[in-house]
Amino acid sequence: MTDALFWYGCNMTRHAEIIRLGTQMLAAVGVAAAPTGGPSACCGSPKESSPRIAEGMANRTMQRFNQSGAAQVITWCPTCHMNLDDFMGATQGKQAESAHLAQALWQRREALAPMLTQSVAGRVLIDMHIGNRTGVNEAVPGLLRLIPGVTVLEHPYRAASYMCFGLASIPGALADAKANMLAAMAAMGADTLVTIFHSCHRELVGLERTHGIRVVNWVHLLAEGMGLAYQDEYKAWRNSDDPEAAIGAERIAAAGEEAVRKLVLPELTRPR
Amino acid sequence: MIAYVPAAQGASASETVRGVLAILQGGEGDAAARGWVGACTRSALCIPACPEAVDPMLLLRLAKFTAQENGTLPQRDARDAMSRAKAFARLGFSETEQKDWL
Repeated sequence: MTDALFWYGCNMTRHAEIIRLGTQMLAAVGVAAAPTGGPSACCGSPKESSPRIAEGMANRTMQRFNQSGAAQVITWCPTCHMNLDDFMGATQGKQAESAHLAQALWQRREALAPMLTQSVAGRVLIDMHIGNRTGVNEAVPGLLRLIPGVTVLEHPYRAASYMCFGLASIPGALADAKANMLAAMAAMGADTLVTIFHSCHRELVGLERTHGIRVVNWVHLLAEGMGLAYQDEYKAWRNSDDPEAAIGAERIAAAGEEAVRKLVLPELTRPR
Repeated sequence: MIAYVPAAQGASASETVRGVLAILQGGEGDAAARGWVGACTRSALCIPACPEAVDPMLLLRLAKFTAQENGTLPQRDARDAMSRAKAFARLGFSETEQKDWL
């Protein structure tokens, strides 16, 4: 029996440290959550062009959740979160409560706040998107304001979609969103761009190298406030002159050299 | 997102919605409707704007499923998505994490 599942989705496998930190933070506020995700806990989204396959994947995941006996499913990915609300729960009978990680932590902020003892210097602007029904646009600023030293700046700009992934396939849209966010940061005197979701982090970490700003995920910043150690390896690899060397031959060999060359390195070396 | 859809510039809103309904029923719709469906990024702005108390965002999403399935819109290329997720997991997760989290 599991108290709660931390359903991190599939593309979060790029950010193991966020999964670890999220799980640690939940435990710190009294929620024992078992991380689950990857291809075996898919919401079906990657296969939306083949709805029958997507439906089968989503049904399998929902059945797995129901059979786990977990009282709560804590989500990360906004696509998973929406699919849970829109389809999976409706067709398979959702037996657990669900909330996004940011919501779950915000709801327990009285327990969390005393643990935020470390000062973190930063004038931060959050990469917010319009279309979120996960509660993050309210919870993330609230959580960051609990960190000593952090100044959360308010700017009216909100990118379209619900995370950067949605913009990436529309020619020009992601580049415009980045330019608008950088302009908002300049207008507010921000030195740190805070991403909310993994796809945003993936798309925006390159700005750290090209624009001299700091790019961190909200979980990273919260971890710094709690004094939790982490390494953002994806950012280090993405901003390295030589991602292959940055990962290291031993790890590449252990992960499968052919797969890393075909699937990982092209993503890390694409234009920023 | 209409700013990124040349075919929808200046199109009649009601005609475009009729086109979306045609796509939902397996048809091709018109260029403006196909463009809207293809460029919808789920900003959810359409939901409070709709005077008919339906969820246009969900409607567009279902239209996209249908259009991609029958070839009206190009399919999203996600052939490597899961293999890529697994490759990153093998790089970033410990052996125990791979066993317990995947």
